[in-house]
Amino acid sequence: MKTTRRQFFAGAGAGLVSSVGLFGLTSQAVASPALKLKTSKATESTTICPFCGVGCGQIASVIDGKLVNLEGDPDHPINEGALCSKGAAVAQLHNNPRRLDKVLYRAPKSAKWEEKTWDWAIENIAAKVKKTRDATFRKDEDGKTVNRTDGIACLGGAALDNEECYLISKAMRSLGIVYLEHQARI
Amino acid sequence: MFPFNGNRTTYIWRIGESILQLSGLVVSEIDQQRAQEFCRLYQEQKDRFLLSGLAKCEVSTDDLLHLQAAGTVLLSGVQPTINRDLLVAFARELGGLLHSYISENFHNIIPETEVGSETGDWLLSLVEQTLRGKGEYLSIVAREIGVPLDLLAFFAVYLTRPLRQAAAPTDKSAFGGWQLGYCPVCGLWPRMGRISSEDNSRHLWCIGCETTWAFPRLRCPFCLEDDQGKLGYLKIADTERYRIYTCDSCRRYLKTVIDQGATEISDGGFDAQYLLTSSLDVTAVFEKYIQDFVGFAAFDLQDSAAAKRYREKVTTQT
Repeated sequence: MKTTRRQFFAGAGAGLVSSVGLFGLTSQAVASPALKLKTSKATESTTICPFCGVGCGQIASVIDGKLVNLEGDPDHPINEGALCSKGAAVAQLHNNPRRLDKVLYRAPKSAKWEEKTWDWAIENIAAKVKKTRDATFRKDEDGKTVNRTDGIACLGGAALDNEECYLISKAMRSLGIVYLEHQARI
Repeated sequence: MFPFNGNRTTYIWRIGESILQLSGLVVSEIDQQRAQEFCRLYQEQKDRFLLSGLAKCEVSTDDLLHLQAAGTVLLSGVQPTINRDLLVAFARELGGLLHSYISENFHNIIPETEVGSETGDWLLSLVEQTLRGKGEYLSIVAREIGVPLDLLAFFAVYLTRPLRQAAAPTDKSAFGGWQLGYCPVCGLWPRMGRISSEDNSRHLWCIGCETTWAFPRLRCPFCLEDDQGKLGYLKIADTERYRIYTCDSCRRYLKTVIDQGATEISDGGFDAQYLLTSSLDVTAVFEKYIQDFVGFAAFDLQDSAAAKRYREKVTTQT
């Protein structure tokens, strides 16, 4: 006896089986808000490890402004997803109870730190830089134009990222500072 | 007529909304053992029929390279030869297996009566249209026979998997240069992603043929969006094992498992992980992200204007 296609499905009920339920392979499968999991929306951004001159790529996951995960970027041509022990710990620069988040100032010959505002710090640093630069700036030396100051040095830190280092070097060069270093040497 | 020729994204959005309307009912979780058991039994059936000569397909390396260079999927250029009798027998066994694991809706999909020629005709037609990724055909059939579309599509995808695999190259490195978001073998969108905790690389998985291929982490496979402000993931509370990657440009989502090791997925493979994570689908839908039905090809025609525009984006980005 021939069976038509319609007959194949004659007994197939039109029961409620949603896409979601089907994935679960259940017989009474249908969607429910009760099954919705608690989630947080994370964004992923690529960045560069600040710790050394290799410049490994990293992917930073952020939720509500808080860094929640940091991993090697597998699509970065330098490190292809790998990170060294320092690079793998970069997240601790951001999430660290010992991280300074305000200005502390210790006056000359003082033994204690004072809390200051950013405005106070920036104004004081600017004033000292200007005073020192004005006093030590040399336009010429041995008949050659040098436009530099030997009175100020700048030392970058390992917690500075690629973009911050770029800005700092530009700012320091514009002041005529030649003693410009970074500790990114491993 | 199933309105899939119109604005595809709009329609998929409506599917998401319709699922939302099912709220108030309950999905019961199945345990890992049950999912793994289903996958194992299916794998055994499939391999047995494939070895018996269910389907054969010869693909030369030149064909493969040519298709890849054009960004065209393998099954658009070659088709497997199918053994009709074995196909009917496989379909009946698969129907029985799905019935025992899914629902009463499936018990009559393949009749218990003696196999007639119409059975083979219908199955061949279903297989042919499914291999072409013709979601419209599936939707018409599903409506005619009163079976939910996703249920029929699920059956069709599992029925055609060995046929697709017959065409797929056994060498996993064959698709090393594939940069597109849809499957290089059958043209379906990926159903699951896997991020290796060893090197953080991402591989996409096709439910149609089980092909996996590498894909950039910060790029949407569905629309190729690479604006980091629009990409992200839903972090699941209390687990680091799963993420739901999302794109705010096309509102698609991709379930992703964070896995140990570099190549093989643990805990039963992609199939089991995919079936076990229905709660991730629920969660994504409630967050207003969407996904195509299983079995629908990314593009109806590989040489359509939409497909060409999609491929051109990759050329521009790289």
